[in-house]
Amino acid sequence: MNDTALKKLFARHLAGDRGAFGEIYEEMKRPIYIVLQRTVCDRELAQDLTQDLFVKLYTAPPTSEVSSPRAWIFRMARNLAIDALRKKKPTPMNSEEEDPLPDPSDRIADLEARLDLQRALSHLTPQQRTLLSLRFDADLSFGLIAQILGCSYPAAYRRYKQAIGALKQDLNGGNT
Amino acid sequence: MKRILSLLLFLLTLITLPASATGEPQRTPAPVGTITVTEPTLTPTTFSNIHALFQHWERTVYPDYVCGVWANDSAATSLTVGLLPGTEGEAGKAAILAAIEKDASVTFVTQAHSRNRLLRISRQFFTQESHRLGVRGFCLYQQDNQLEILIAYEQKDDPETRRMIDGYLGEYGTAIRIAYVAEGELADIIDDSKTIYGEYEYLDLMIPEDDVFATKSQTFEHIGLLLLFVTPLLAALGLILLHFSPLRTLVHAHGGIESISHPITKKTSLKTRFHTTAPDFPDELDARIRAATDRAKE
Repeated sequence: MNDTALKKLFARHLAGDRGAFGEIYEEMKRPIYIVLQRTVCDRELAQDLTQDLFVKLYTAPPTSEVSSPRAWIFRMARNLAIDALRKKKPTPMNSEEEDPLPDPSDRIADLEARLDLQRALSHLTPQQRTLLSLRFDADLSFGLIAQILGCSYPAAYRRYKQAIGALKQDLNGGNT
Repeated sequence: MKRILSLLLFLLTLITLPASATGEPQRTPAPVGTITVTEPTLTPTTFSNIHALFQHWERTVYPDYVCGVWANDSAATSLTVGLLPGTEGEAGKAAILAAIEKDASVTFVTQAHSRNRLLRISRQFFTQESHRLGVRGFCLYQQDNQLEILIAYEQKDDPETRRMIDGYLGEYGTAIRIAYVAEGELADIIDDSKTIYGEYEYLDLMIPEDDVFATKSQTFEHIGLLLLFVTPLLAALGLILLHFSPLRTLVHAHGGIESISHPITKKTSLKTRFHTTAPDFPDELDARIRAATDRAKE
C-alpha cells in the first residue's frame, strides 16, 4: 500500500470509520512487530508493545491530520520501545536467550543466519537496531526514517552508516 | 583493463550512432517508446538451470516479459524470476521452462513493470537538464520492481526540482520512487549498495562535475561524419571484448555516467538476511489485539 492510500485510510479512521482501522492494522501490524522485536530484542515485550500501539491507535488516534501516517505510526512504535527499554534497565539484553525454540521446518542455514544476525543486532544500541530495521525490514526511505527519528536526512544517513559499520564488523567476526 | 576498454568502446559507439545516422548531434535522449529491445533467442539453445539462463540474459539482453531476477535464499541456490502479468508473462514462463533443463531452482512471481521498461525509463534522467535539477542517478530494485531516482538533497526544496519530480511521478507512477541523497554521500551509497542489496542490484551515477556533456556536443560538430565509418568497427570490437568479459557492462547513450556492474555471486546481501530472519507475526498476538480493540469498541 502506498503512502497516499494509507493517508486516505488514516483520514477515514480519524473521521470515525472503524473499517479503516482494520485495513491500517492489516497493513502495518507485521512491520511494526518486526521493528519492535528487533529494537527491544524481546519477543514478549515486542508483542505487548505492538498490542499497546494498536489499541492506542484505535482508541486515541491523533486529533489532527498527520502528514505521513506511516512515519507517525513508526515513530509511535519507536517511542514505546524507548520508554519500555528505559523501564526495563538495567536488565541486560540477550537476544539468544529470547529466541524462540527452533521451528523444525526451518532450514539450518536460515536458523544460523537468524541467530547470527540477532546476536550482532543485540550488540548495537536500540536506536541503531530501530534504524536498521526500518531500513531493511520495513524498506523505508531515508527521508521517512529521518522523520521517524526526528532528525535531518544527513544525520539519519550518518547514523545508519555507523550502525551498518558496526553490524558488518560484528557479522564478520569482529565482535563476538 | 579489458572491461574498461570495452566500456569505452561501447560508450563511444552508442554516443556516435545517432550522430552518424543523421549527421546531427543528438543532445537529448530518445523518447521511452522508441528504443528497440531485441528479444533474445531461447531456443534451440537450452541451459542447465536458471542460473545459466540468467547469465545468458546478462550477457545479451533480458526479454521484455522479465521484470526482475533475484536470489530466494541466503545461499542463492535458487532464483525468483518476476514476470509480467497475463498472457505475456505466461508465455514467458513457458519459454523459460522450455529453455532450462532443471527447473527446481526457479520460482516465478508476477510484477508490474518489465525490467527493460524500467531501464528505458532510467535513460530519461540522464540529461543535462535533469542533472541541473538535481538528478544524480538511479537504483534498480528488482525485487521491489522499482527504479529509485536519486535526487540531490540540497535541491530538495527547489520549486523547479519539485515540479520535475511531480512530473516523473505523474508519468511513471509506481515504476519509480524518489530518494534524496546528499552530494557527499553518493560514493558511500555506491560502496554500500553491494552490501545492502547484494549482487543482484546495480546503481548508476552521473558524475556531477564531469564535463562529458559539453565535450560530447562539441565533438559531434566536428567528427560526426568521420565516425560514421568508424562506428561499425568500434561496435564489432566492443562486442568481441564484451563477449569475453565476465561482467555485464551497462552502457548509456549519454556520457557522464559511471557504470557499476556486479557479477552474480553467492554472497548474501544484508537485506536478504534481514528478510529471511524477520519474525512471523504470531497468531495469538493477532487474536489478542483483535480482542482488545473489540473490548474498546464496547
